[in-house]
This record gives sequence, C-alpha cells and structure tokens, in this order.
Amino acid sequence: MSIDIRSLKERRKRIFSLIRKELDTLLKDKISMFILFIIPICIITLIGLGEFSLMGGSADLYIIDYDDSEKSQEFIDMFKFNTTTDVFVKVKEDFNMNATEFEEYAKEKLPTVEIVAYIILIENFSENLENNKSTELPIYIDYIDFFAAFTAQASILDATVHYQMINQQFESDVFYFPIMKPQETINILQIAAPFLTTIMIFACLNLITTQCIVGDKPLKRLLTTPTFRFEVIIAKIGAYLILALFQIVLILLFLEFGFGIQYRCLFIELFLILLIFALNSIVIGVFFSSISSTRLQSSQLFLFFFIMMLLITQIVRIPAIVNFLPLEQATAAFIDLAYRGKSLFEVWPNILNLSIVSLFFFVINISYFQYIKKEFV
Amino acid sequence: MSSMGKLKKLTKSISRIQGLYLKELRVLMKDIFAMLIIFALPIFLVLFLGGVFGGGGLGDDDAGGGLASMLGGGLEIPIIGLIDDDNSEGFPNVDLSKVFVNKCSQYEETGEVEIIESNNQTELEILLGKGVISAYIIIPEMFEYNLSIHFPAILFVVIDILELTKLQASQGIIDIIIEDFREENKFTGVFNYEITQANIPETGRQLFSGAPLFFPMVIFAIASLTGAQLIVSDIPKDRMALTPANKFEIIFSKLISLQTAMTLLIIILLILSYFLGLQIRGSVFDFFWILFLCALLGVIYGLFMSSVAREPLEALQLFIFVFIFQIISVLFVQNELILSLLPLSNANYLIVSISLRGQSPLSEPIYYLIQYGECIILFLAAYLFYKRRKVLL
Repeated sequence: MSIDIRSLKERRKRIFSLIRKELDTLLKDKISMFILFIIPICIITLIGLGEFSLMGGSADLYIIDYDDSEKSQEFIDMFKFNTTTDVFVKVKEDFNMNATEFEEYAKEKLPTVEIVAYIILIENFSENLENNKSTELPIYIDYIDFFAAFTAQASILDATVHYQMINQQFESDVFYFPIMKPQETINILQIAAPFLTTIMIFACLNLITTQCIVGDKPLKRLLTTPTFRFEVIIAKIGAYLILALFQIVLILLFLEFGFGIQYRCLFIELFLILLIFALNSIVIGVFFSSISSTRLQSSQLFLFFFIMMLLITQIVRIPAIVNFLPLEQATAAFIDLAYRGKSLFEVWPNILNLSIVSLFFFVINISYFQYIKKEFV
Repeated sequence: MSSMGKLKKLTKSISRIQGLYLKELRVLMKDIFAMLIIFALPIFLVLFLGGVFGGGGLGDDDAGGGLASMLGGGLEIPIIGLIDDDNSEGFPNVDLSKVFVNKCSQYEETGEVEIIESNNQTELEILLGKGVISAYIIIPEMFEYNLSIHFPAILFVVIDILELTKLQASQGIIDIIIEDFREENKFTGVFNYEITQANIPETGRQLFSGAPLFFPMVIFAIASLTGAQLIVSDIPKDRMALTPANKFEIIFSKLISLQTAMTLLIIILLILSYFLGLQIRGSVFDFFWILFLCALLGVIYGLFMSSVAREPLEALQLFIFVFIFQIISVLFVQNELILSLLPLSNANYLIVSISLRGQSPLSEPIYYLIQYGECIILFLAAYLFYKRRKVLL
C-alpha cells in the first residue's frame, strides 16, 4: 500500500473518530438536544394550534353625517347591517353631538384604539348622488396599525359596493376583486412553514455551532496530536450536519403528519435543500466561532447576523443584499419545491447560491484556522 | 444589632456594590470586540430603517404607496402579466384598454414594475404557478364600453399569495396603476374616495413602522444574550466568596453594570432615530422608559438563565429558546394571555399605544405592572439559583 493511500486512510479514520467524539459530546448535552429537537416541535405546535387572521378582526368606524338625508341614512345602515365584514359603526346620535362636534371628536379619537377610521358624508351627499351620480367620500384611516387599517379599508369598500348594487347606482369606475392563488384553503402554518422552517434551522444550528471552537477547551490538547487543523473543522461540521439531518427530518415529518402540510415535491428533494441550508448555517457558525476569542463575542456575532438577516429579508429588502442571504435563498427554494411543485433541478440558482456561500465560508474557516488563528499554538 | 451597626453594614454593602459595579463595567468594556457588536447592531438597525442604505418599504416620499408598500413591498420589483382582451368600442378617439396598457408600460419604464404582455391566460397561469410572475391582470371584453355607458369596469386580477413580500409589492403597484388610470380619465365612480392615511408622520416612516418590533427585539436580545454569560462565564466570581462581598451584591452589581451599558445604547438609538426623522406622538421620556424596561427585563432574563445554566453553552441555548419563542409568538400568536407575559410583546404594545399613538402612560398600567412584577420575580429567582450554586475554589 502506498504511503499516500495509507495517509489518506488514516486521515479518514481520524476525521471519523473526531466526528464520533463531537457527537458523543453533543448527545450528552441535554439542552442542545432540547434546542435542536424540542424547540421546533413547540413552535410548530404553537403556530399550528394558534389563531391568526390577516384581517385584524373587527373595524370600529365613525360615520359623520352632515347631510341628514334618507340616502345618507341608507348608506349608514349599509355599514350597520349589510356588510359581510365585521364593522361596528357609531354615529353622532350615539354621543348626542352635532356633526361638527362629532367630527372634532372623531379627529381626537383617531390616534387611539377606539376607532380605526371615520367617514364624512358631506352636506350635498344625496344631492350629488341624484344629480351628478357621484359624490366625494372623505375617509380618514389610522395607519398606525396596518392590519386594522387594511380591515377598515376592505370593510368600507365592501359596504360601498353593496350600496351601489342594492341601489343600482353605477358610474364609470375601475376596480378589481383579487383572486388569490393557490385557491385551496391555506392555514397560517402553511404560509409560515417555509420561513419558519428555515429560520428555526438557521437559528438553532448557527447559535450552537458558534460555540464549537471558541468553547472547546480540550481542543488545544487535541492539536498537540497528529491531528490536522482542517480535520478538526471538517469533523465539527460533519458532526453538526448529522444532527441537522435528524432535525430536518423531524421538522418535515411533524409538519406533514402533525399538521397536514402537503408537499408537492419528493420528500428527499425538500430534505436535500434544507440539508444544504443547514450546512450553510453550520459553516457560518463555525466561522463566527473561529474568529471570536470569547463565547460572548461569537454569540453576539450570531445575534448581529441573525437580526440583520431578519431585517433585510422581512422589512428592508435591499435588492443588492437580499438575494445573497441564505435565509432568503432557502425560503424561496422551499416555496418552489414544496408549494410550486418544482424539481430540485429547477431550483439550481438557489442551490448554487447556497453552495457558493457555504464553500466561501468553508475555505475561510480552513484558512483562518490553519494559518491565522494562533491561540492554540 | 443596633441601628448604628445596621447603617454601617448597609454603607459598607453599598460601597462594595459600587466597587463591584465599576469592576463589572470595566470587564464589559474591556471586551472591545463584543462592545463593538453590541453598539453596531442597533446603529445598523436604525440606519437601515432610516433608509440610509437606500432600502425600505416606505420611504419618506412614498406617501401614496398604500398599505402594501407600508408592509415592506417598496423595493421588490414585481413582475406582472397583462392581457388585453378588450375589443369593445365606447369612446370615439381613444382606445381605453390601450391607454391602460400604456399606463402599465409607463410604470415599467420608471422601474417600479416589470410587465409581461401576453394573449394567453394559460401561459400566465403557468408562469404564476412557477413563481415567474407574482400576479396577472386581464382587461376584459367590454372594458371600454362599460366605462362609456357610466358603468364600472371590473379588471380580472389574479395574485400569487405564496410569497408575502411579492404579494404586497404586486398588490401595491396594481392599486397605484389603477388609481392613476382612474384619476387621469376621471373615472371616479359613484364614491370618489378621498382617503387620508392619518397618524403617519411626514418623515422617518419606516423607522416609525419598524420601531415597535425591531427596537425591543434588538435591545432585549443584546441585554439577555450578554446577561446570559455574566454569571456562568465569570470564572473569577468564585474567588469573590473569599471576600466580604455576598452573592446578592455580586448579582446586583452585574445587573446595574449591564443596565448602564444598555442605557447608553438606548440613548444612542434614540438620538440616531431623532436625526433620521423619527417622529412620535408620545414623549421621548416615555419611549425611553419603555425601552429601558425592556432592556432591564432582558438583563434579568439573561441573569436568570446564567444562574440556572451550568455551562456557558447551556446559557446560550436557553437564550435562543427564549428569544426565538418570543419572536415567533409576537409574529404569529394572538393569544393575549401568552403575549402579555412576553417582554417583547409588552414593549411592542406599549410603544404602539404610548409612543406612536400618544396615549398617556397611565392608560396602560397593567402592562407596566406585569413588567415590574416579572423584573422582581425573575431577579429574586436568579438570586436564589445563584445563591444555591456551589462555589468551586
């Protein structure tokens, strides 16, 4: 047997031994196991059983009637009785005020939680409708709570359309009633699943791996043996990847059999994309661990990266950055595979992106640990 | 013991706490890298939300962007399919469906939307299913005719709901295009809605909408993460047992030193937000106090985890459990009982009610009381756990 082959075999043996050692340590750590396997179950159950509605429940409105006509009363009644959404309407008679006082009162109450919006029925409301077939409708909506504002706007549109239909009163207008696709009933867990799964995998694995080098006290002694530094990195990544494998299977099975989430792709395809993402989370975590000199530093790096990634993918969405973030890539690939029924081949840009980021951090990890990190010397 | 003796004991205890406080503060500040991250995170957050890096769903000029853009769809450029099925006649010198198509192209030229014109609905259905387009519009037959006889024209719009950010962006741009078309051609309908988006400030809108969620999130996360390492990672603390300092003094000094750093952080956050145009209806002091309480709870949660955990890794793991549980609960759970017990959710609620809506702090006493109660109970629990911990000398 040549020396090269023997050396390769020994290297492989060393790496496998190191993986076993890492796994032994991790498996003994009950809290790690709890984080990796119980947290996802708790969170999925919490959301799966919880109630959620995009429409912020009922909308409380004031209608200020300056017209005091039969038509304006009909309009108010449409909100009170005929709307398909949950609306609670109050008018000036409820407060024993005249219209001007009531408008002032509504203005005062708009920033509070008492009302979401108020509508003004102008003085010539019925006259305009009769003569011009059209009238202005000033509406003031409180936009501090977006969901409540959304509900109020939808309720107002719904009631005014009903009013037109019942009174057969039409005028040139352009509108639409959006058809949402897919049309089958989708619960909140189904909508949240791609983001939820990826965020749980990233947060759990990345945080745990941020401690794998900086918190490994016996590592210094280990490096006095013939073990190479890059073997240590590979072994650590390998060990965490094995745990990730079980975590992913658990999450996917629990979503499918616990809450009936249906995947339109092969289970193995979804599993593979999440495994690539898990690898990504692990190598980034190892990188944070390599460059930190204390546990606190590495966990803060995790926190910094995690919150920034959350902010950019969910709120700010800067195009130059968002498309390179692992969380965005993995979530998009999850949606494409699980809900759009695409094949693994079709999500190659996401796979390529995740792989390049993983490779980049892997090379940096090896180089940094091999040549730059001197604490162990 | 005489009252004089008690006073002397108390004075000594205070002086020990003072010494320990200075020591803890020095230890915290010594870790320059950790401090940099602590301060960099909120600064970056405010700069991002303040639109300094050019991102954002709601810029200051974005007054007419509608709800969709307020929810974060501002920079997502949606790809929308368009079919013109209208061949009807209504107006002599104009083809209204063409005008609508041109209006869409006009928005495409400004880079706000990408339009894919087609004459085949099945093709657009396939593209929608594959996620290539996020919505499609069909201008139906009789579009122009209906408008010409003073009838409403109803567009056929299909939107993909699988990706929420794209959904918001596409619905937002469709609303804007239709509104523009209506106003330009004076098709205002029976009710000409004059909608005023009230209570949204002129400047710093994104900071305004992001503050209730992201400010408490960052402050709580930093406070509890750092706090989670204060006891379990402090190896020399066991030697403190040889000094007259007792465990209460040690844990209390840790609490106030980290809270001092957090206070500094909150002040920086508020000053930066002010310069980036954040406008609130409530007082700055109330806003500061809500964030201060959130930080205090974060520190105490951290100390509690640190006193319970046997290893620094365990403390970190407990932190991630608490943190992720809270984020997910705030985003997806609507059970008021659960939410009222969570610091992140409480701070979120108080910022919206008191700082953004301008309600009196006395209007929400229960939320403050829960937070004060949690502070006391958790701090006592942290102290008791720490007291029971065996000292290894």
